[in-house]
Amino acid sequence: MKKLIIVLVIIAIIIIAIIIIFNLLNNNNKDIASTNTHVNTNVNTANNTDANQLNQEGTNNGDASTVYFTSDISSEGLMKIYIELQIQTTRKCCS
Amino acid sequence: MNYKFKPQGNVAVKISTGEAGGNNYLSPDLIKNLVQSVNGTIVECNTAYGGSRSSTAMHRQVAEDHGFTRIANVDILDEEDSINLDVPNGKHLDYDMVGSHYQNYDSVIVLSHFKGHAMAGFGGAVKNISIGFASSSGKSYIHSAGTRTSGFGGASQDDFLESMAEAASAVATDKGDNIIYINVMNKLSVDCDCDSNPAEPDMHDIGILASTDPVALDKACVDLVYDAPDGESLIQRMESRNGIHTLDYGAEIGLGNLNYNFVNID
Repeated sequence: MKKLIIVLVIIAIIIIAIIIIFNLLNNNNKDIASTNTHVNTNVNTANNTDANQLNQEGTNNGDASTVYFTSDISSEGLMKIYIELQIQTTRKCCS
Repeated sequence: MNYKFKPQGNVAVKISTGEAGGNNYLSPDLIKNLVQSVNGTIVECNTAYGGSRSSTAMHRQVAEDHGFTRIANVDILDEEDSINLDVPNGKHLDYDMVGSHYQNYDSVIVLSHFKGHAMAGFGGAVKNISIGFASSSGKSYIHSAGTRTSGFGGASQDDFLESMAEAASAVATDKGDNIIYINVMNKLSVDCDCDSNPAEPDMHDIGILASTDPVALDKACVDLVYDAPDGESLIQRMESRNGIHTLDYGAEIGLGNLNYNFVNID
């Protein structure tokens, strides 16, 4: 009888150990999954940031007209944007 | 609107010389290099209201006082007379009355100070080639939506705005590939340079924009005001006058495109 109790306790300990190990492994996988989700979120955010930046710096609306911009409000800035417009219109015309 | 612009022949640089008393108009020092690089003539027309630029002699004096005669020749286009341009797709205007010297120029650089305006909500490229090129009588004709050639009024706000777009379309069509548009977004008052005592700007300067499409150019400026953290006053001015309708209608009649690709060259 005593032997039987000892065997049952050992079996119970083994089962509990298996459950604990399984839970630990499961939690670890969740952490990894969570980490992956976080990484993916970061990647998406980065992509969105790039897209937003692209929208600010150079949108592409198909057949839309082009508007050039410089924040340089000076004689040099005015010449720069005038030359840019001239170059681009010439390129579009003759290409 | 993909075309080739190369300044050739007589080059006009259309600006607003600014009413005496105001100081938000484009600085001669800012535009000097561009005007001189194209051997341009600064062109303007007399006003239809009784200010300091309603006659050629007075207007020339203001141009001198504001420093424009120092950097280039100044031509008051309606000094002698008006000529009529065809208005394509017009429902208000049968023609556009511009200063007769307009026909002496082969290429045009429309150099506008973007800002608010008491009647139009805002002023940019479209207003500069409509009201700006119109003779004194032509200005009244636009303001009245084609019903009179002296004084102001007699038209609903939207009819006035649509008439502005129609007059702009007359100039843009007439000059074809030989016209480009540059807007300077500085000193962004809610009032225009035709005001002798404009409100102080209460938002920061933004930059310079350029395009071959006056509608897209003005739309980009409007959008930048909406994007600005301190654009409330100018937005209120534009919205209270339904200013955007000028561009909506301009796009409808083929003056330009409301959609644009924004290219930052900084």
